[in-house]
Amino acid sequence: MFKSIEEIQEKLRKENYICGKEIAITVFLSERMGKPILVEGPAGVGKTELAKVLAEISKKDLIRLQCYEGLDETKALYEWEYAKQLLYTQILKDKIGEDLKNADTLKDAVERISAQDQVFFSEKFVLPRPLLLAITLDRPVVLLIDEIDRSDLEFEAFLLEVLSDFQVSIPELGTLRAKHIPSVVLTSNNTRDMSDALKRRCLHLFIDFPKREHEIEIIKLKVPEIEKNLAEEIVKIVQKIRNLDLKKAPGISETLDWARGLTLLNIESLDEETTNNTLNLILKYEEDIGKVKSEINRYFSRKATV
Amino acid sequence: MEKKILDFVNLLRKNEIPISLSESIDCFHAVSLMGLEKREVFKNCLRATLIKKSKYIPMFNMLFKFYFSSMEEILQSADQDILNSIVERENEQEIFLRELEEVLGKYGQASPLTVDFLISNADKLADLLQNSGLSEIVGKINSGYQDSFLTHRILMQLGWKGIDNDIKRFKEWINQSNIPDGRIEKFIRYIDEKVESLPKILKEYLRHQRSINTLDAGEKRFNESLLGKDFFSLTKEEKDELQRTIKILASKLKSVTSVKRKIARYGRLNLKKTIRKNIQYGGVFWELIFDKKKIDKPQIVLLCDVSNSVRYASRFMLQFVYCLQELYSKVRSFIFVSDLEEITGLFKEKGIDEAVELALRNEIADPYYHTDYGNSLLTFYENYFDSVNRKTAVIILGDARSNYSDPEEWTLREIKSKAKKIIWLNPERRASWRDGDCVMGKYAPFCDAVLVVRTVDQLFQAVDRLTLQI
Repeated sequence: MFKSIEEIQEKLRKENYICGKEIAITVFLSERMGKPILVEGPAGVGKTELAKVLAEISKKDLIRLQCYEGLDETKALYEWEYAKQLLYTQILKDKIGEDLKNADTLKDAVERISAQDQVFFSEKFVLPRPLLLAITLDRPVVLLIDEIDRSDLEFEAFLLEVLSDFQVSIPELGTLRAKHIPSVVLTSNNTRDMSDALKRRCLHLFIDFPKREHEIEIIKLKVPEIEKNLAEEIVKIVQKIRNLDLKKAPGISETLDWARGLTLLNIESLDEETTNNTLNLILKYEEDIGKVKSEINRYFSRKATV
Repeated sequence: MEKKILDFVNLLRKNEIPISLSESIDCFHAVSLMGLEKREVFKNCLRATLIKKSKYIPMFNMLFKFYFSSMEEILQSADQDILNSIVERENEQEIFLRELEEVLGKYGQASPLTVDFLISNADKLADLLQNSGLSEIVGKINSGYQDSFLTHRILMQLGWKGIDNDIKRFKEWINQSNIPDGRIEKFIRYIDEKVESLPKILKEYLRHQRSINTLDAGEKRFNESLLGKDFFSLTKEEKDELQRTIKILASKLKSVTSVKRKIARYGRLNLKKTIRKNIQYGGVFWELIFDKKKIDKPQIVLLCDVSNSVRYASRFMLQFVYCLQELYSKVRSFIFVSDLEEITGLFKEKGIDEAVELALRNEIADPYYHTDYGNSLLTFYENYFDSVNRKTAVIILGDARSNYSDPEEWTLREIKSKAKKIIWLNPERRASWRDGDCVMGKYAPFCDAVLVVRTVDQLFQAVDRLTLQI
């Protein structure tokens, strides 16, 4: 149990995750209230990273469920290992035959087989997927449900059920209740609206692009060999680029890519040419690169006159 | 305190942020866990439990600012915002203000009030505002129309005229002084922003106090009633408001459509794939694989009558189609009055407002020429017929009033034979389709649907039908 908001922030910082107080407060609330966190925000700002780091600092395992369209119960919750069951049946054919030797009628035989039901429908043959794992493991875990906006409505409805009670009913095995309630983090890229029922159950956290000082700090932490001035220059330009109307604004991961790229190329300071040549490290669409190039020109010529 | 929080929740709801009962209970739970002492923590508790869509965050921040702050804090934070935009580094901001104070001192003719206003003495300014009758006025306002008038009154009582004049003369003086130009520019920018901001802040403040006062009076939702209003009877403000609403409607339609498309997917059993998949199970059909029915995004060809009689409707139609471009794999748009012209490129290159403006202006199709449907359709048939194929839905928006010229309805027959669907949207009521020069009757037989579209609601429904049924 975390004792204070400051503790959370400190520990996150130790794991190289720089964040504002808002994130720490929401994490604290989530733990105390036992509610999942729904993290929204543009791509590349550290939503998935948050869950990973959270697992680190609370010393829990991370179980990850990646959502996609068409994800259903079998892939998310559990599946019977049919192949294994068939295999066992084949191998034990003789033993089964022995068992049934004394059965006189068909009805008798069926009775005997069904008495052995539990053998083939036991936990041995259950293939647990992330959700079931999260519930049945002996130790507390952090459950990351990544990109839930890519799943469909049926999956959301199913998830609601699991998230409200943290128990699962498998007809053959009965109801499995969570030994330890997992801390749940859901991430979303906002490509579609989540259902209200899901949102109601979660605490909401919106992670936006970081402020300048934070971003500089992040770069210095993750790319320690970078020149101090270069880090500041990079952040200045990227922050300006974000204000433009682009198809995909660069996130923190893009900034870090750029920083790493420039350090690898042994570049110590940015000029117009270098920036234009390395724009593809932060921008992923050709039309964006075009728009930005004219802005870069303006930026550097203004810089030159000051 | 609980009442205050509850009132705040109601205030959010009045501003169209949906908050359910369980969320407000969560809110109280969170606040009781975290306490009220630290403002940031308190704000965060409210935000995490009440606001579940990122688009509501700016509204929440603004309402929180006005509901839980004093006027002083509001002014303080506004000042800080202005300073941040002019002087980036925080340690340089103090220096900037001292410099400005010095310069004002040298100028010597600014009243103490002006100096106070400019050098950010937020609590002093808040005091002055209170003395100008702010609290009495706040207690009495209950009607929206008074906001501007009351703001003006408070400012007058504050002595705004004097401040304004002072600042004008100061600007003249400083431009002739020998202070470096870069510095002058910054000072003037700062002063201008401050002058702009105070009336705005006051007006916002009054507006929110009014919402709080009239918490119980049910206010009619502005947007929704607009949706049902005839295009022809909209005022300019309503039109602007509607433009924004259309963008919101379009995005809603996009998300709804993608969901509906998914549900309609499952098709027949795909035997080949099923057998292949089940080889691992020894041929027993454990898993069934079904065909996924592919629903193509429809292609649209839009013909818009932009003559004066139909102008308002066309404007909204064009906007709507622009917003929905992502829902369709291809959109080609044309406008016509006496003749037809393509404006697809315009939509691609320019932003929506510009494109719609240009499209409706004289340059392309002169609205003062007489509408001639026959000629326009002819031009379309001769030059652009290849844009129509069996996947295309042709949408025609117009009143079918052709000034008694030849309707050339055979063109529509040709189009119908090639296209998937033809849909006609008419902004006139059905009753008047037989009057005068309206030739709707000649075109209707070739259309799959003829819909009356007089309000944004009907437009929305028409597009909704189109998008799903094609």
